Amino acid sequence: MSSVQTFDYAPGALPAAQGSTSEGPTSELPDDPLHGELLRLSMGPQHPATHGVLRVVVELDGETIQSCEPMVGFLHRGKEKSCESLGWAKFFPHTDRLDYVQPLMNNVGYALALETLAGIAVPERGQVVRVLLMEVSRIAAHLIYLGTTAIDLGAVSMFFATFKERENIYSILDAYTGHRMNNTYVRIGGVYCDVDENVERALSEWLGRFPACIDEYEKFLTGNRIWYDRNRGVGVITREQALAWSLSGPNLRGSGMDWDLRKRSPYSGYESYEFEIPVGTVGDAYDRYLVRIEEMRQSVKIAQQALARLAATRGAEVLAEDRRYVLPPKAKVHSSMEELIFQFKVVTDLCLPRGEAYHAIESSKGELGFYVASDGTSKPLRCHIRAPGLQNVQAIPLVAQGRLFSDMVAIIGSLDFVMGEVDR
Amino acid sequence: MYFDYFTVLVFASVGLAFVFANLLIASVLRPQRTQDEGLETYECGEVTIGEAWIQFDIRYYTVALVYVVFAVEIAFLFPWAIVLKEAYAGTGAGAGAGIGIFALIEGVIFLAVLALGLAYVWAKGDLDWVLTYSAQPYQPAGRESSNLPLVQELEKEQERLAEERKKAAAAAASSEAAA
Amino acid sequence: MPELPLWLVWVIKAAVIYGALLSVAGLMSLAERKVSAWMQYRIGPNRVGPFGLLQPLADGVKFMFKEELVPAGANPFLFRIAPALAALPAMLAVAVIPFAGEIELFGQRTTLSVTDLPISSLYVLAVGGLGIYGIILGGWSSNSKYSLLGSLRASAQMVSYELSLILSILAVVALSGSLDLRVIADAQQADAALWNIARAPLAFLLFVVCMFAETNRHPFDFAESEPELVGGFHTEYSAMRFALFFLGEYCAMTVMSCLATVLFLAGGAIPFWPDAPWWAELASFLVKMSAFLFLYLWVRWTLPRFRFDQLMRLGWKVLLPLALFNLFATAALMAAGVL
Repeated sequence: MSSVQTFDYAPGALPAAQGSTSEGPTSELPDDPLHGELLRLSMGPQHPATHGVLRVVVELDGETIQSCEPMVGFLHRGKEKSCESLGWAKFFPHTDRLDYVQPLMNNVGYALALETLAGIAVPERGQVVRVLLMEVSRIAAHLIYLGTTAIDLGAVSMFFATFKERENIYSILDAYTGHRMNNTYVRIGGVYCDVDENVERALSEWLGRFPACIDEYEKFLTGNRIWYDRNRGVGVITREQALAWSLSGPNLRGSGMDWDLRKRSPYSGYESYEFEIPVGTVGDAYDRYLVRIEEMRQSVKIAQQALARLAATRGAEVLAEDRRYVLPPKAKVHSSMEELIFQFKVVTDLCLPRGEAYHAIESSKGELGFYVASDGTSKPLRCHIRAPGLQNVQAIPLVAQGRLFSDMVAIIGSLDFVMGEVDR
Repeated sequence: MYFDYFTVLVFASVGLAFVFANLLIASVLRPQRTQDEGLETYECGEVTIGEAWIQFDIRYYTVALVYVVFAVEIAFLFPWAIVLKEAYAGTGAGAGAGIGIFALIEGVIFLAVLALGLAYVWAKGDLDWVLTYSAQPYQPAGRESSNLPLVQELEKEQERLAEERKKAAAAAASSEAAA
Repeated sequence: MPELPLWLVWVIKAAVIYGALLSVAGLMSLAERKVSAWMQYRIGPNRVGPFGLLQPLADGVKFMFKEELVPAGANPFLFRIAPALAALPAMLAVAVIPFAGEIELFGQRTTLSVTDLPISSLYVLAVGGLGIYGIILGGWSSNSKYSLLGSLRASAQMVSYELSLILSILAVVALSGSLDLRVIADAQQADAALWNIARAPLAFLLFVVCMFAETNRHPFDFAESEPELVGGFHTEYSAMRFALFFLGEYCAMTVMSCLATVLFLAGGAIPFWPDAPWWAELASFLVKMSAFLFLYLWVRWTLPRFRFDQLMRLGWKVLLPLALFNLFATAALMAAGVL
């Protein structure tokens, strides 16, 4: 077989990459004159339920999915290569565009990898701000999951209910970072600026109000018989399967594995926060839904603890004092020659020491890892992004095959991926 | 009485005129600058794979068939339902002693036959839309065994951690008791 | 008022009722957007006319000026004819709905309905049932897989729920002893305790559920189900022909609401006002009908959608046995003299 896969869509020929037996599933059907022909259907890339530009080629027998194959790459922008040609610090804005529903989380993940490589210790307040930003981002990302999955299953108003709260998060982040969506606010060694007291107040007010909103979402969906029927038993992934398919995040926890990097290999001081890891039992779409709902509550708890710590450490530094890699504070740059030179060096010619580093964080979708290798120059030798969404997409045929076509939207929704990070 | 149906005819022709007038006016007003891409069949922005006009699943026909049987039988219930009230009252077309109870028993027998038919179709499984969730289990190429060592290691790790937690909890409990 | 010949009065009546029906359908399309906006923290259309009231008109004009595409792979004749087939039956079914009592119109004494047939409830079912042809032909002739699936689902669904619908209506027919909608409405007059919603609550429940399924509305809108089938049977339709499908859907909703009003809420009757004038009856009829129309919207913007096999299970294994039982129970209770 040649290394290049050609996709031939003549009737009866599915690409071998589909993975089932070589003769394909078509011939596996019973030779029954009453059996209908297979309907071969391309779901996506321009499809409302594929959450971006995913393409799934589906073979339907009546309404049952006989085979399906996800195809990715429609949003490929060469992010890893961009990192290798742009340089260390200039890649931060690009991380925003990976999983664009949680830009700050991606920022932190990348920053942590660079900090591991350079051996920079982030000051405590900087870590607390990061945790705060990450947890708020997690809530925002889970709200997207909730809204889009609900809209796929027909509960359109849920989408607006979740986006209303997401809008509040955007406003608060806008007040803090100056951007609503692609914030780029994390720097090597900490965060760009300290949190304003107004922002703190707005956040704590919002966090106090948000659990009631979660209750409202649950009132909409959790006990709703139609929602239950659409999700329970759909897309069941056993714990073994989830591990073998290297799923992570809520998809893995929904399958009953209490694996959370915030607990298993804590970073940014997560070990000092009090929170629990929700775990599912069945591993179906409903469990994943429940896990995400509970994670939102836990994120509120963590964010509130972080806010309390912010109040306790007011005035402390949020950026590390390491002039080799970390930008000097702006005020000093304007008044001191040395600091100006440091700023110039860091912006134009930031070189990280030789070596390699991998750091993973628990993003809203799972293990978001950044691998960076440096040869000591201002550009990374290699940057690899371990995006959890790709594994989630891979699991679609695992659970969709043999289910109804309508289950496809529930499965795609519950696996929760963002094509920006899948295709990178 | 046939005049009533004539009104319906008048009504229908007004409706027909409305619909086709709309289509006609629109056909005069609308622009026509169609390009070939616009005439392609929609398939999510991809080139269409294969035909839509296939021999589709038999279950749709089964449902239609069951419907026809039931609909025809239910049609017989209409006259019964109309005269039922009069039959009970013993007036009009249903004049006669005891005809009400007779009508009830007849109707019940008919309904029972219908229910029996439903039960039969149900038992035959023709009402189950999904006969089986049947498809080849998905097996990715090049991975015959799901018995990966990683899984077992992780399970061991889980057990170890659970043990540890139990021990820690026990230690905490005992120290508390000691305090 | 000049005296006009009878046939002209008929045409005027037909035109007025068409006008009313199309206005209701147009207003429904606006209400759909307004109500959904209220439920979703939005404002909804408010640019065209006061409160966006002229929005349906603007939509209609837009549909007129839109380019129409007939896919190259489609069956052109059926593709062109299908929207008319979907819209017409829904509009025709309104002919026998008794909106109010007798009025004096241009010297002719006439009832406020297009016609009064002795079998009008049968007529509504017969004509309304034809609407499925438009949907199935439109979906099939598009030669698009999504449309095909949508139309197949729609046809299977509509026939499945039609049985329960007919059986629930049969219970009402048995209670009133007539197929004539006007007689059915009059039999429940004035006294609210005689309304069929009180006398046959199970039939009412069945009817309401089937009414959603029959009109392909959420949570049973499998024919469209946009996240799966991207519009379903009308994926390929554009411009005026798409508008006709839309019109057909809203007209069908209106007819079903009218039917529910007549069958279960005594039409235009007002409790404790037995000899209400025709305009009061008409107003009361419209209020009751609007309540059902609002229910359509309320459900649509609140609930998730069923899955297709769940819908079939509900239709055949729950509603149909219930409807059979309901008819039996109604007959038995009538025999016992309770009803």
